[in-house]
Amino acid sequence: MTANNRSFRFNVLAATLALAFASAAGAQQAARLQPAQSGDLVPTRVVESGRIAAPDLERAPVQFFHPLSADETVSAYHEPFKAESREYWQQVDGGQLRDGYALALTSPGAVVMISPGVEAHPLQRQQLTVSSGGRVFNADTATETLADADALRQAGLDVNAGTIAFKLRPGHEGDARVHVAGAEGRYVLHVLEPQSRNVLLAQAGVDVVHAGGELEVRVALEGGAAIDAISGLLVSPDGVAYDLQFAAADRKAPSERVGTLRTPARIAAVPGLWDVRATVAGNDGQRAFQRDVRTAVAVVAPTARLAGDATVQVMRTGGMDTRFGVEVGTAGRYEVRAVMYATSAKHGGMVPVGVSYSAAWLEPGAQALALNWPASILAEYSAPYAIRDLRLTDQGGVATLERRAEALHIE
Amino acid sequence: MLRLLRVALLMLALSPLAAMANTGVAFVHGTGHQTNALADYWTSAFVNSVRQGLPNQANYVVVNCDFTRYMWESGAAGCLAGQLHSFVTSRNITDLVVITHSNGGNVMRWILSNPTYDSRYPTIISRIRWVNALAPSSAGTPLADAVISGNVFESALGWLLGYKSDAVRMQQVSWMAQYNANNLHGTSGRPSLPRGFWNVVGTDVASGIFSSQAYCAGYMQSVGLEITQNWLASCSDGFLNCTSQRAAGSLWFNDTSVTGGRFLNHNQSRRDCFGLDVILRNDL
Repeated sequence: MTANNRSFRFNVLAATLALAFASAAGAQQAARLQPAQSGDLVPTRVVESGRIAAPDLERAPVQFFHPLSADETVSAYHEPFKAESREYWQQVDGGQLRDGYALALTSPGAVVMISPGVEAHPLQRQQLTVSSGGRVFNADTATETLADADALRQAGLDVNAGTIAFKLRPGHEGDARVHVAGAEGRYVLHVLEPQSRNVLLAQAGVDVVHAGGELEVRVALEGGAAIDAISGLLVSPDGVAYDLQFAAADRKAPSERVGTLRTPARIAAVPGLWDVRATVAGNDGQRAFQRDVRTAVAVVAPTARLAGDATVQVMRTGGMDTRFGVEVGTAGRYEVRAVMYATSAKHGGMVPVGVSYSAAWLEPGAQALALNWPASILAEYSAPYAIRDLRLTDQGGVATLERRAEALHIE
Repeated sequence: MLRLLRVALLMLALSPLAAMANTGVAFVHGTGHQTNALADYWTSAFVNSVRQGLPNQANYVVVNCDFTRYMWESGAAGCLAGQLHSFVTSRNITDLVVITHSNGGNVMRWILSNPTYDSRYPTIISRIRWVNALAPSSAGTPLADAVISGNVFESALGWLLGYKSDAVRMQQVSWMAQYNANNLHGTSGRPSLPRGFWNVVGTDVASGIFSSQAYCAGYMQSVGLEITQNWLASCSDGFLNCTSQRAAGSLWFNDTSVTGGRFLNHNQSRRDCFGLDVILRNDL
């Protein structure tokens, strides 16, 4: 224990911490994290994932702090992304396109893009015709715009070579069929109906789920049409698919479904997010149509978690360290970061002070990471203090492992 | 106005140091694997015009990295950190202005948001005055979703997630929402970045063949745009919705407010079009 670092004993009541700031010397106090709240992400176990850390992953401990403006709004809660779609996709083969593939449209002005897969014949605009109402139309007659891959790329759409896209003229939406002479191989037919009122929404219950945990996805079809059928998948970054099981959301919401699945307990250490895909067969009473929607979630191996213990140390210089116990299951580089709130006489209440970060390489077992709060910043504030938006990250996997909106309250 | 106020406050705070500051500028490209971004991405005309604002015009670096990768990977942020760190330490740059375009803003924001990820990051951050983010794809683009959706094939071995780069995959709207919430700072409700991140926003595209402004930086094909615009909002630069360009950091300016009413499409916001280079030069 150094002269700057002497500790004192205090009574601890639950997660509330009382510190003797009047002391000229340092003060140290043990505490427990506040109970997790709704919306927090808290692992229930840690695992040894067996992954091998990238050789260029940083090994040196690094700490950082930057102040926040007192009027800044920082929210530790956030809604998972809500995806919207007026689109659908179909895999089609060359034979279907040569024979004429029926589009399922609900509104004028559909945009259709046909992308060739591996070894499929590239497409050119002159191969396209459209039939509807018992007549066949050449591309110039049936479409407002017809673009090849070069034109699409110049406009920022990084499509495959041999892709064609077009916008149908109004009047063909009733029974249009797309004919592509010479199509050979597998293609993705992608249809966007920008004017359609039939919008498929998808929102996962959480944006991060621990491997082995339950995922829930709410899917709703807006626009008044009914859901005739629904299916969905969760697809890992390495392409493995898992079926979502759908059930009605509730009787008052006939166009909503809730999909659930238990994520695999062991996952490959492949970077990237997991794709949630849902396909709906809709029916507006006049015609059947399809909608597909995609969103993303992170499925992460709980390679470490906060142990629940913390130590708060007020330095004689006026700064503060908050040290958090970390239970490590897999060796790696981990980071804790948090936002401190403190009492400001000027602002008449608690305001954000700054963000502190600390990362280090940690071996399996009981470890700790400490956040430093500089004296120069804290000098402007007084107790009570609060540590909020506390996060534990596995930097090797770019994975948020734990997230707590309210972590410590310090009197 | 907000930026002017902050500039004034910064100048006041730094005035004793201002005479000693050694200012530099770094140009950070967007999606793609660049080996000669000066010629292939920015053009010499643009870079040379901007760096005229430096007291020492040799204090500039044009970054060349592999931004086809996820933003945190060694080929992306690692490469960017290496080139910025080398630049600021070898030339003793103490006042660095970073100019990013498109996805380059995301890679830069990774560094600013994750200062402990790499021991070089704190040094780089400490030298940065601010980032001027030209049309940053901070909330992704629906065009990335569209191109990925057109490349998803099922096979006996599972789902083939397309042939597109990880950078395109990363810039899907739902993916950027996830990264903004969990791995990046600077968007609404998240802690601010340790340095200013000032957006230049392109609000529309002039593509008509009789429009002279359509021709700066090359003619943006109206045929392709007529397709891609269906995925975008009415306010966009032809590749990114304005909401994405404004999603992180602070608005510096919308194109029309400083260009005499002309739009900066997504290609033009990295070229010497409509005085953009002079605005950036005067900001150094």
